[in-house]
Amino acid sequence: MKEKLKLLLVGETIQGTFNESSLELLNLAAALREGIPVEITFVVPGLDAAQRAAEIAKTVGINVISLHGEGLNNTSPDSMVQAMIEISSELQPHVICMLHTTRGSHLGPLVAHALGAPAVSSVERVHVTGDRVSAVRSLYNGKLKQELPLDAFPVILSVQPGAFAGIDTQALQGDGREPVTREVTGSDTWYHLQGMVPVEPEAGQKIEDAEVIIAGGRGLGKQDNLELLEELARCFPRSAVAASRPVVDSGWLPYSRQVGATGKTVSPGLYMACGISGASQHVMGMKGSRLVVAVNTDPNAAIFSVADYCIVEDCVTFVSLLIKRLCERN
Amino acid sequence: MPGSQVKNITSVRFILDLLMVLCYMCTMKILVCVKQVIDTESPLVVDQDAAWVRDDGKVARRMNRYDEYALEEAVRIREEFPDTVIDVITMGPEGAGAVALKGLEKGADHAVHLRTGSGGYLPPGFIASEMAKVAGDRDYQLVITGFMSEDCMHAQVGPLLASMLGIPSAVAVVQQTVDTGGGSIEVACELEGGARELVGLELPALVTVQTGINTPRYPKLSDVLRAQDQEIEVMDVDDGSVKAAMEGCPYRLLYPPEGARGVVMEGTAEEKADRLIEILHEHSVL
Repeated sequence: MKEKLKLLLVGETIQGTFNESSLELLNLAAALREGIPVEITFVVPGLDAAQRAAEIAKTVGINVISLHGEGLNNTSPDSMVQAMIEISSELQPHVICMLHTTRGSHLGPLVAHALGAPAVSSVERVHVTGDRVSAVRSLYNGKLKQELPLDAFPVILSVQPGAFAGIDTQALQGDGREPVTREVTGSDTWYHLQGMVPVEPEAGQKIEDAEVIIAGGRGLGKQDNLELLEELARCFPRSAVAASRPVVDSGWLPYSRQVGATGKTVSPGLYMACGISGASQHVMGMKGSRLVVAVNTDPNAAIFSVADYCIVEDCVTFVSLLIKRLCERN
Repeated sequence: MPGSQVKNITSVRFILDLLMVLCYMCTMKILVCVKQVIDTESPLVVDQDAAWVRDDGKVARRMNRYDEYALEEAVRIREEFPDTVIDVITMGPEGAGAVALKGLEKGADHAVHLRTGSGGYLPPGFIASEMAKVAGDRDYQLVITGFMSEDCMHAQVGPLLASMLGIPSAVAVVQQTVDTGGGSIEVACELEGGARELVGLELPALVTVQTGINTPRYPKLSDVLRAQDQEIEVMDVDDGSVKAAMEGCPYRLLYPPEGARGVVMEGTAEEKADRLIEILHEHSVL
């Protein structure tokens, strides 16, 4: 394609608060811009987030649409689809991007069907070769990747949160401007929001404050083996035992101990992943750790791609051995 | 007289509404979408065309875990409302019939297998549209799918299917309460960081469930035996439409970049443990 790639970046607002992770969509735009000229419009939903829309327009200097209307303080999917249809017919974007959050994973396919466009979910990387753009995403918990050329427009991309964070957006910087306010009216409302349940407060050492985290996954096999992780954790000061999703789903540990997209984000000095496969949802929550040690029987487990030290062993046997060796030394 | 006509229409509507409410109270039809996936622990080798995982006979196949939670949730609804009828639907080659059977073993009353000529990747839009063709005229009050599949991880079939059927949807549901009398469902959806959003949807509706919404049971032996005698409704998917869908969705599979990997420790388990202790000392975490 010769012309500019027109990007519509769709932010999200939950309970009137703009989700700042939405700004990672700008990092994605910056990654694309390295290979192809881009034209950006950023959508900030909700009247309560109008102030934030104005700041983004002013400081980043891009076109911002401050979207107002029923349900939009919560990026309600019904109103958002309506808004996306209207804005798309006007702006004719090539790529509509949103975060692959609960909201974004819902909205993406709805918009795709409404526009008769394909959707590519949980995008982790983009490539531009010549004038061809492609997106890369995970299959099988990251053990394989899928690369899809983006050559039929419009296309909907939902972007894995955290995947593009850190890419320099300086090149996108434009002149300060005013956001355009847009009202969405007359949408067919079917998503009846009734309230919000906040995250439960927890007891004991919070995993996000721990300096050493011993984390267990499905590879633990049974709940009794958690005791081994507790025992290993006691060898370190300021330590805590955490888990990946399957462990908390099984009720072995409370949800407050879960690391990942739907749990906590941690960055301890040592993160030891025991029997964790390393799904991107989990990796998102721990990739900021300073030292990562992974123990897994599967040599191709995705967790090894983010580990500093990879140990191909059964985690239960290995942790028992490690505890024994540590005791012998002390 | 126009007045009595209005009155007649009003009473007819009232009766119709009453019948609908009674109907909702009597039977509720649920559709659960299930997928057969290659076990994520299997060694995964990309095939020659970089199109899918090579089947060398060593890969194990099973039901997508998210869908097990979806089916369990349907079974729980039926326990509460005994007149509920549960259908499962799956799409895939001949061998995917095993998952349709598994659905019956786990408690579905009826199974539909949309049979494709060969195995491999299918774009989510195609899966959803084929399922929508079947679901469209079968009057399901509730459609339940897993939040995503473990192999393709798109998380698209659920919302796409809802959109194609023109019904409300909610995703990443971790709790639900059906009010069949009122024709609605109340759900809690999991947002990032563990917060939950409470949402009401009018039926018919579609929900995609997150893992942890329940604890899926192992099927009872009597249900396993009963399932063997049940017929699976097989509908062949046109090869031409599969081909067209695949041509409309070019892609290739890759392995993750090797360079990202850390140091793979060698030696016996004891040697690895000793080396790890040294490393932890070097990094001052011990």
